[in-house]
Amino acid sequence: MEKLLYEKFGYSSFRLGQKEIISSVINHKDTIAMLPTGTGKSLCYQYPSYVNNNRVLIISPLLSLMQDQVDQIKLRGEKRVTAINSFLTFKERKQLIANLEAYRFIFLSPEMLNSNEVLQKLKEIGIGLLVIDEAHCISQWGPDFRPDYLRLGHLKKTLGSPCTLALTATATEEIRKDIAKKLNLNNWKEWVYSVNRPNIALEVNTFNDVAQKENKLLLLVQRNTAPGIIFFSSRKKAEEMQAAASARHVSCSVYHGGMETDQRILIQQQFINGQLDWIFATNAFGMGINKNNIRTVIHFHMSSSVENFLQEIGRAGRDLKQAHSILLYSANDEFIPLQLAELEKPALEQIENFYSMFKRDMPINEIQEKLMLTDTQVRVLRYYIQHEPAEHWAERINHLLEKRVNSKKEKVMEMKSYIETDSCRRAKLLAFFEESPSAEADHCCDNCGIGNMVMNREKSSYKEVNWKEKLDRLLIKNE
Amino acid sequence: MNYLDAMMMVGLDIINGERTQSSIYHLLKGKKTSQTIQDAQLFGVSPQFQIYPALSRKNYDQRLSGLLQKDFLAEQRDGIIVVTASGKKALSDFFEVRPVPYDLNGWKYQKSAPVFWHRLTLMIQTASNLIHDRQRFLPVSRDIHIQNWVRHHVKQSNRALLDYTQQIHKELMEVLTLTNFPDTPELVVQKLSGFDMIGLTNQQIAERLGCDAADVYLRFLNSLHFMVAAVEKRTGDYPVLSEMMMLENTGNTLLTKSTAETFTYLSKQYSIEQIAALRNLKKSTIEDHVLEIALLDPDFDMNLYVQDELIKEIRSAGEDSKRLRFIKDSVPEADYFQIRLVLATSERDGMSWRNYFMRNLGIHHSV
Repeated sequence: MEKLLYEKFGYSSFRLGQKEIISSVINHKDTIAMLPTGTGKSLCYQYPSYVNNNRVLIISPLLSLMQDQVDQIKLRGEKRVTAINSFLTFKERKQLIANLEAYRFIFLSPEMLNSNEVLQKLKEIGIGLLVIDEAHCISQWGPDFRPDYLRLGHLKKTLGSPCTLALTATATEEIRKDIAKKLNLNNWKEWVYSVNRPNIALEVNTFNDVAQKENKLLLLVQRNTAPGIIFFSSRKKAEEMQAAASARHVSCSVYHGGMETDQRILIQQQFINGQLDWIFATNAFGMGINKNNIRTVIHFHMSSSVENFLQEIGRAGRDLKQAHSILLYSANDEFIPLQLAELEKPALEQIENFYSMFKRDMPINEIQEKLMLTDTQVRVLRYYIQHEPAEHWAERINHLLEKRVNSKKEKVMEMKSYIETDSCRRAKLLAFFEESPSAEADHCCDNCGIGNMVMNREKSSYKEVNWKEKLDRLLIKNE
Repeated sequence: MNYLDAMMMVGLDIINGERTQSSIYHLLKGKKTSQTIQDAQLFGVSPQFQIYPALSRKNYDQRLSGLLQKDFLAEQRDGIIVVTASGKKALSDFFEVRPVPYDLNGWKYQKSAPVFWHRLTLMIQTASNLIHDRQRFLPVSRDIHIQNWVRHHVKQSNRALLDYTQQIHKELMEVLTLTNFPDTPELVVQKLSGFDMIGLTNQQIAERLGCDAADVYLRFLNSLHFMVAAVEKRTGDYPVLSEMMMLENTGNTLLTKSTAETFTYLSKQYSIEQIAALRNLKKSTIEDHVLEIALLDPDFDMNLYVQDELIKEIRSAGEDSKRLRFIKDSVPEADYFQIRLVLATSERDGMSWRNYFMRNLGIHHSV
C-alpha cells in the first residue's frame, strides 16, 4: 500500500485513520469517515481510485474550496480532474459535459444536482465511488444544512448506488445517523476519529469593550508567532484592523469574498509562499489551502458554532508542531451571530408571498428582488416548494425554519459556553462530540495553564525588491 | 476623487450633454450595443471603452452622486449631466500630479490586451519556475484557454527554454525602458509571479507607491495599453511579446452577432437595401451594422457609400460641432448615415482623446 502512496502522492506513510478508511472504500463498503480538519481527507478518495481504477464523483459545497482541491490534485501531477460549478459559462459547461469521460475526478457543486443533463451524463459514463464532502451539511440538525444535499439520495439511486464515502470533520452521533439515513447507506462502516488537536493550545481573552480588544489584537500580531490568520465576521472590521496593523509595519493583508478572484488568488499564494505573516480574513479564507506551518489562529469575532470553530482553528499546526488558538471576546459579541441566525430566516409574510408568486410562475429572480430575499433564503424556499406538499405550506415551512433558527441559536450559545467555562477548554470542546481528552496536551488551555510554548518561526527568503531586480530574479537563473 | 471619478468626468465633459450620463456607464463598462459603440467613436471616447468591465451600476451611481454633491458635476435636465467650472478645475488639479492616461485604447485593445497580459503573466510564472527546476506550482491564471496556450508554447520551445526566457526578459526590459513609457514600470513588474515570488495585489502596489488602489488599476491599464501599442508598432523587435498578443481568430469576433451576419452579406457585394429586404430588417438597422463594421475593419472602403469630396466637407463641418444636426445643415447634400460614417471613421486613432487633455485642461504630455 505504501508504495503506491509514495509513487502517486509523495508521502512515505499514512496518517491517522487514512489506511482504515481507504481499505474500507477499496472493499466497496459504504463508509462514513470523521477525521479532524487538515488531516488529509482527500487522500481517502483519491487513493482508492488508483487501486480499483474507477471514476470518482465528489460533491463539495464550497466553491472556493472546490477550486483549491482541483488545483491541489493537479499540482501533484493528476491532470484528469475537473469541477462543474457555477463559475463555468454556459458554453464551457457544455464542452466539459460533452467530454466528461476524460476525467477521473469530477467535483460537483450541490446546485448542479438539479441539472438533468449533468445527472444523465454521469450515469452514462459511470461512477465507481461517490464522495460526499462536508457530509454534515445533509443533516437538518447540523448548523450548515444545505437543502440541495437532500437530493443526494436521489443522485445515488440514479447512479446505480455506487459505493459511497461520506466525509466530515465534525458531526455528532445524531448527525452521523442522519447522514446514513439520508444517503440510504446500507451496512456501512463508520470510522470516527477524535476531533481533538492536541498540538493546538487553546486560549480565550475577554474584554469589557471593543477598543481594548482592538489594542490587544494589534499587540498580538506584533508579538505572536506568525504565520497566522485572524478571523472576522465583518469585512469592514477586517479591513479596518488590517490597515491599523499595516501602519504598525506588520506584514499582512485582508482576504474576503468581496475581493476580485485574481486578487484573492494572489493573497492566498503570497501567504503560502511566506510573503505575508498575517491574513485578516472572513471565514471564506483558507479551508482548502495547503499550508502546514500556520502557528496562530486568532478569532476577533466568535464563531457561530463549535463545529465552525474547530474547522477554523484546525487550519493551524497541520505539521503537528505546536500551534495556538486565541479567541478574543468582548461583552455581547454573541449578538452578531444570534442576529445573523435570526436574519437568515424569512418572515412568515415573505414565505407566504413567495408561495403565491411562485405559483403564479413569476421568475425566481423577480421574486427574490421583490421580496428582498437572500440567495440562501431563495435556495431553501425553492427546495421546499418542490418537495413539500402544498397544504398549509407557508405555516409549516415557517415553523420548520423557526426550529432551525432556534437550533442555530443554541449553537451560538454552545460557543459562548466554551468562552465562559472556567474548567478545561479542551474537555469542554470534546464534550460536544461525546469525547473526552485521551492524552494530555503539552500546552492545553489557559484554564489548565499553557506554560511556555516554544514556537519556531520558519523564516522565508522573500524580500521586496525594485522592478529591475525582480525581473532579473524571475527570469534569470542564478548559477 | 480617484481615477474612476476622473474618467467619468472626462467622459461626461467630452460628450458635453449631447448624450445622457448613462451612456458613460455603458462606455466604461463596455456594453456592446451599436449605440454605445458608435457614440464612442463619434465623440472620440473610444479609448475609454470597457476600461472598467467590472463596474457595477450601483458603484457608478454612488460616485456620480458624490461628484454632483461636490458640485463638480451639474444636472441640466433629466439624465443630462455636465462638468462644472469647478469640476474642470478639480480635474485639472487631479492630473497636475498624476499621469494622464494618454495611452489608453480600450476599444482597440479590448480583446488583445487582457489576453496578452494573462498569457504573459502565466508564461513568466511557468518559465520562472521551470528554469529554477520547479515543475509544480499553483498557476495564477485558472483560465483553461490561457493555460493551454502557455502549455503549448512551453512544449514547443522546450529545448530552448532558457533562451526563450532570456528573450522575454530582453523584450520586457526594452519596452519598459522606452523613453516615452508613461508611468513607473513597478506597476507592471510587481504584479508578476514566478519562482518563490508571488505578485502583488493592486492594494499592495498602492501602498508601495503611496496612492489609491483604484489609481493603480487605471495607471496599470494605461501602461499595458502603451506596451501593446509599442509592441504592435515594431513587431520585429518583439517576436515573443507580439506572439503573445495574437488572437486566434481575429476580425469578426468583435462584431455583435447580427452585425456579423450583415458583414457576410456585405462581403458578397449585397447593398444595404438588399440586405434589409433579405433579413426583413429596417434600413437604419443595417446602416448601424455598416457603421460598426467600418469602425473595426481597417480595410473597410468608405467610398462605396460616400465620395471623397463629400467626406472632406463633412470632416470640416465636424470640426465645429459633433451635433449631427449642425453638420447636416452645413452639408445638406449628405444624409445622416454618410455623416455618421465619416465622423466615426475619422476618430479611429483616438486623437480627440489626447487633444482633450491638452485643449481643455492645459495639460501637456510630459517627456
